[in-house]
Amino acid sequence: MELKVNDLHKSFDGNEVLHGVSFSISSGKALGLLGRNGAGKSTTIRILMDVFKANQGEILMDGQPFHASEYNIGYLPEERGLYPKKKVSEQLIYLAMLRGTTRTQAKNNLKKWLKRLGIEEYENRVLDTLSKGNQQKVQLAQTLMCNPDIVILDEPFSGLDPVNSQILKEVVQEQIEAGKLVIFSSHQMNYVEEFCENIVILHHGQVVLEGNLKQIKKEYGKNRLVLRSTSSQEVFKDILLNKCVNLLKVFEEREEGYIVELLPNVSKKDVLMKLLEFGVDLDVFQVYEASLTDIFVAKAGDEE
Amino acid sequence: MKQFFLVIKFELETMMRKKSYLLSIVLIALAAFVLLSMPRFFNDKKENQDGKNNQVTESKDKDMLIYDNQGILSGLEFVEQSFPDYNIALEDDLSVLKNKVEDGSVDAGIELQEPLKFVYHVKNSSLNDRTAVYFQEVLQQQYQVNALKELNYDALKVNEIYHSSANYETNVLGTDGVNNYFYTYILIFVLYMMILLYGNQIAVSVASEKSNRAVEILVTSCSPNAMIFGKVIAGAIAGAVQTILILGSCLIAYHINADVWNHVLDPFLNIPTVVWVTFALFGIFGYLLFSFLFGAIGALCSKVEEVNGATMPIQLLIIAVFFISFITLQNPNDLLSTIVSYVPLTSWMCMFINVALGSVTVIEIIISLVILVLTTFAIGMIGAKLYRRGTLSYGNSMKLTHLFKMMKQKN
Repeated sequence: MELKVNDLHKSFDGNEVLHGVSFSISSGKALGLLGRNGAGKSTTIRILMDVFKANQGEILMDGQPFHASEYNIGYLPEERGLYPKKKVSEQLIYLAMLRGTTRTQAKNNLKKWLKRLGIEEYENRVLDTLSKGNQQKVQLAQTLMCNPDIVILDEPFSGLDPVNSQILKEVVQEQIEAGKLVIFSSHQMNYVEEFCENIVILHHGQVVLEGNLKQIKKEYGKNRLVLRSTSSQEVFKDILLNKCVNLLKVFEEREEGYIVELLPNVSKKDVLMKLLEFGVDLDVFQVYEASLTDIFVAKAGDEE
Repeated sequence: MKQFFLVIKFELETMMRKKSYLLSIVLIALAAFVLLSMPRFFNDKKENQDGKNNQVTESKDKDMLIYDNQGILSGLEFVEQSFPDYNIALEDDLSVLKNKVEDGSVDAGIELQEPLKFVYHVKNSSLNDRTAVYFQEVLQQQYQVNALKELNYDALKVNEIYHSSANYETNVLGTDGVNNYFYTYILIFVLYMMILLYGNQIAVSVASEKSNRAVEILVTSCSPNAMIFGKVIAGAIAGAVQTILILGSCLIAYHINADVWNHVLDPFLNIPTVVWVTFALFGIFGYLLFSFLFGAIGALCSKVEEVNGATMPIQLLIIAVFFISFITLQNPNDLLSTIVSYVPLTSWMCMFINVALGSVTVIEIIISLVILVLTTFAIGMIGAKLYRRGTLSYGNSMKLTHLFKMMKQKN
């Protein structure tokens, strides 16, 4: 399965919140849908789920118009939503049956997922008597109970402790390996880096970056170096900031060293020669490998 | 359709398992049973008291002295009949009578001054003391007997003539407005309470799903039409079951106690089938119409606490309809009653009243019902649309203008 989102536009009361969002995703791969609060992630997901209609644009599944109701979709919304005063089993079976599962099948799947998530003893407990983490696992069981072909997870790790996060990580990984089409939205970049082959960064309703994560990271670090000296830090800083201005731009000062960006047509060798010329005693001179957080901040951080 | 029935089942289970639902049935049914059985207790008490009074007559624990120096009372027969618990004696000396009353050795002293004038002497007066009133009746009775005797009339015969009454029967050829008034009044009150209580419950149910964000899962798993129609119809069933159980318990309680009520309510309970059918049909669709409105309003609230304020206009509308129905109840055949019997916002209550108390043809009932059904369906569809849009709009409560905008929006 290949899902293509083309040029989505959406307005609320004349206020355009999506300005031509496009991306694609295939089965067996996870797409990280990233963006700051209010960037348009949830609106995009809601359009995918057919909660809202787009004002413009199209969504295609294998080249055909995509209608959420025709697919088995597991959706974990950002705003968790279940009945707090109902028993776990009662509400999960009801929601699974609303999605077309038979009662017997729903009961079997419920047992399977509660066991898989380590919460089988809470089957007949009222939801709001469970801890936040266990409620989150119940929500995940609801998402996966109908064995969906498409899994949409909006902030699935929020409220989970490290042990439960590990269980959830394994479950998400299983879904990807099972060939599901997974859309993963999170602010926790380390999880996105673990799961997602591709990412889309939305900013103010526009796609500011899209593509293969490894490729993006490679591209992003191509012209950047990490430099650290054993010489006086003040002297080293002065050299970088004032004496190498025609070669590089200091991007950030970190514990591991200065992150610098080479100016166009400047090679790494040119920088090394210049620093040696100034007598700098270098102990780190390496290509910078950007983290997703760096890329995210660079693309979706404040303009100022 | 499967989703629709699933929603009905789930909502019904949720409503019917609520302690408040079960408790209200038990408590109201119990209260109705106790209230309808009250006359039985009072009668038993009265009978006991009557028995006690007989014993008291024998014991006569109070004393009364009468000063009658003119011989106005020809005997103490009437006085003893009216004051069975008194020892009654005549006293020739007025000052002795007053002293005995004052020192408490007698409870009442009567000083007869003229055939129709007396003074009641009592140590301490009390609001509950009826002695003077009873003695006034005795004196009047004595006066009438004496006067009739002087004219050579038989006092018993005259009394019989004056208290004779004429009997009549009413043969109702059309609508029995007198008997029907009572049950019509009860039924419109039941309908009114049902819509107010359950309508609000539906609004709360929708708002709480929005508040706990379950709605996001629901709208992506189920069609909004199945959702809102399922919720409203589940509410209707729960309300109907509760009403039937409460009314049923009232009827059972009445039948058990019918003898102590002297079967006084029997004629009122012979409700004609056409009235039952009209009540059921118009009641159901009226209930659904307002429930859809309540559901849609609930979807516009972000928190459960906002529901009461938001549903206030609908509640006021229902109260207004209730008052209009009272006008219809008084004048079922006038122009206003005819008009409100066709307007869908009022016909659910007023057409039923017209059928019970006025003169309405079957075709008029059908026309009014068709208008009501179509309006209910249209409101249901609008309600579903508002439900879908409203449930995903969080933040400030919506204004009426926003509501109309939502209804116009295509997507």
